[in-house]
Amino acid sequence: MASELPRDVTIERLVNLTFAFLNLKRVGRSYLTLDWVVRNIEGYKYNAKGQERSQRTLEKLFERDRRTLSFAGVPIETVVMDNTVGYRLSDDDYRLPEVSFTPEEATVLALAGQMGQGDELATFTRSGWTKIAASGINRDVSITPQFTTVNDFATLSASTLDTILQAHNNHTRLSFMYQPHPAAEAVERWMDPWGLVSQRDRLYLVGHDLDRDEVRTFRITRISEVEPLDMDDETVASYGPFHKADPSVNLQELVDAQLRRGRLLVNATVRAIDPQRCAELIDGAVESNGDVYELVDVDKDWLVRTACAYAPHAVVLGPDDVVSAVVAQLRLAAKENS
Amino acid sequence: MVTAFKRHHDLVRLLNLLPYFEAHPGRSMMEAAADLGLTPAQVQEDLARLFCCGPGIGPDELVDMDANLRSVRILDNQGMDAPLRLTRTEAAALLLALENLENVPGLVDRTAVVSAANKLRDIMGLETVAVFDSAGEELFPETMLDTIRASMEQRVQLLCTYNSATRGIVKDRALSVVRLFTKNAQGYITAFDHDHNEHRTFRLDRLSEPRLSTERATPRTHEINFDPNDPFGFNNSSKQALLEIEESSLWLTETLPVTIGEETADGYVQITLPLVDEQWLIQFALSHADRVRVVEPREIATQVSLRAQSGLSLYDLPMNQ
Repeated sequence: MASELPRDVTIERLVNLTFAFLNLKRVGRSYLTLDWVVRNIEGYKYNAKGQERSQRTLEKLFERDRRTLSFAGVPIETVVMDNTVGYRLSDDDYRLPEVSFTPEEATVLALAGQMGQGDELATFTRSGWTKIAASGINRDVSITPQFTTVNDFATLSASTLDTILQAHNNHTRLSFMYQPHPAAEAVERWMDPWGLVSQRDRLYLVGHDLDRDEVRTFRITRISEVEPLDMDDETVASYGPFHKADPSVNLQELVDAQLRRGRLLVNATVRAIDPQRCAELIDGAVESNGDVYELVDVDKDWLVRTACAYAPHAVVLGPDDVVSAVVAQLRLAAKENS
Repeated sequence: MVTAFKRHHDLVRLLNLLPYFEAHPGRSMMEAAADLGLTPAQVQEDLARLFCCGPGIGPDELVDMDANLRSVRILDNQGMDAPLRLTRTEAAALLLALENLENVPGLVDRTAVVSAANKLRDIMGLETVAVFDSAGEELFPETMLDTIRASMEQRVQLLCTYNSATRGIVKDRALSVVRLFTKNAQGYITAFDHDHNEHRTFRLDRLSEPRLSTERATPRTHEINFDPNDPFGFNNSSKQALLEIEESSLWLTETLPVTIGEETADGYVQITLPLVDEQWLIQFALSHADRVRVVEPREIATQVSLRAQSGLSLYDLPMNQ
């Protein structure tokens, strides 16, 4: 074994405390007291400078350790017996429930655990995978492809995620700051949250917007300071009971609908003067005659902008309103950048 | 400084390593490291730490194991024999990651993604229902990802045709793929380009006819330091561009590392951003001319204007306009 292991007093104290709780039954006790913990587990009685800790400090330290352990999935409950406050492991909640994953499922979970999205959430996908791996599933460890996503998940903090999950489950109203774009002033919005929806590599918070009294979706990158509101507060309560989602409603369709709002689909004809240099524009289009392509059901705004981006390698032949829009945009580009 | 997140991960690793080796008796430290996404040194250090832990300090109260690099056997786990339950945050983070994986069929088995997510949802009950189970969509053709994955797994080079749209050059390439990533629903691979002898990033929608070579893949992995928050190396760019963007359109720059500056008299906002690809900037300015203009570098602004004029010349326009 490595002999010169750097000490990490905190982590060793937390691990030893867990061992003590796991061995309660073995030593014939039903709970531990703070006194017992201080006397038997290294790292409590004395601080880093070797001075004895006061009772108040010990209580605070133990509470902090309890929270850290609970956060990791080690729930410690308080019991009062014979006028003594004791602590024990909440047995039912300690173990990962019996679950069997196939080797194929194990491979995708390992990848999900290791693909590292965002700095904060990556900690939790990794620790989640560690627990599942420890349940004994087997997979071919040689095949974890190197895959990363760089998307909205990176901006979602663990505490925001947790706040949203909890508010959703407890039917608690949320407040958050919404900033439509980086230079806009953030405005406070209140919402009864319905869920988080992943759509085309983006993440949206969907729910009932209280001020608009309508369903709204917010891209997660544009909201911050997500906090639960006090449902007993007079102003908060004035919006009535929590607006629940109709169980039949498909949140992804709500996001889709909001994204599609304001879009106009058109059919167009495009001449690709150099098809290699405007590949994005004619991707998926039907070649009708030589260098002429038919585009079906494309977003008009996308078409105008993309045709401009690849000028002069492509020309829109019709319809007329698209041609006028492209010409107007190119005139602006010529004028504004000269 | 030890952050709360590092502590969390350290703790979860330590509390699950004994159950892990109990469930995989005789597994080597190397195999365990590969499985858990750790370095072998980390596994070794964790085991050494656990070796000094236990419910007490007596000889019968410490963890005992027979551990060497080739094989690890736990002799006394001191009661730590079960993996911990998943917390709400861990399960939700995994479900969100699986939602992402559902969009890349070919890289992974989509059926397995869906069934793994269902099993996770089952054991979590109501705790994670806020993560909506979206229907996956195919962001990239499955056959393409299938070939890329095969090249990574079999460690052979990937042959393909690549259309560098911004430069209009179509060429056959031989690539040693290092990593696949998505950004804003666009797929990319980072690969060692054997024709140019350097690592480059390739957009999947410009790549066609992917096939496997018989040549061994030789990515110079140690030479590249992939930063998942900066996959295009914006931070390493020394050149800057100065743009003016109409204020309500600033969301266009949401995924770019921009610095926001002064507001102009006509309601535009000045922004600077690292300039890594001139052709990209020219296309960006052409496409968003109603709300974006290039101020610096001047020669790029001039090119935008020239491209627009030559584009206009192709439209049949009345002379007086």
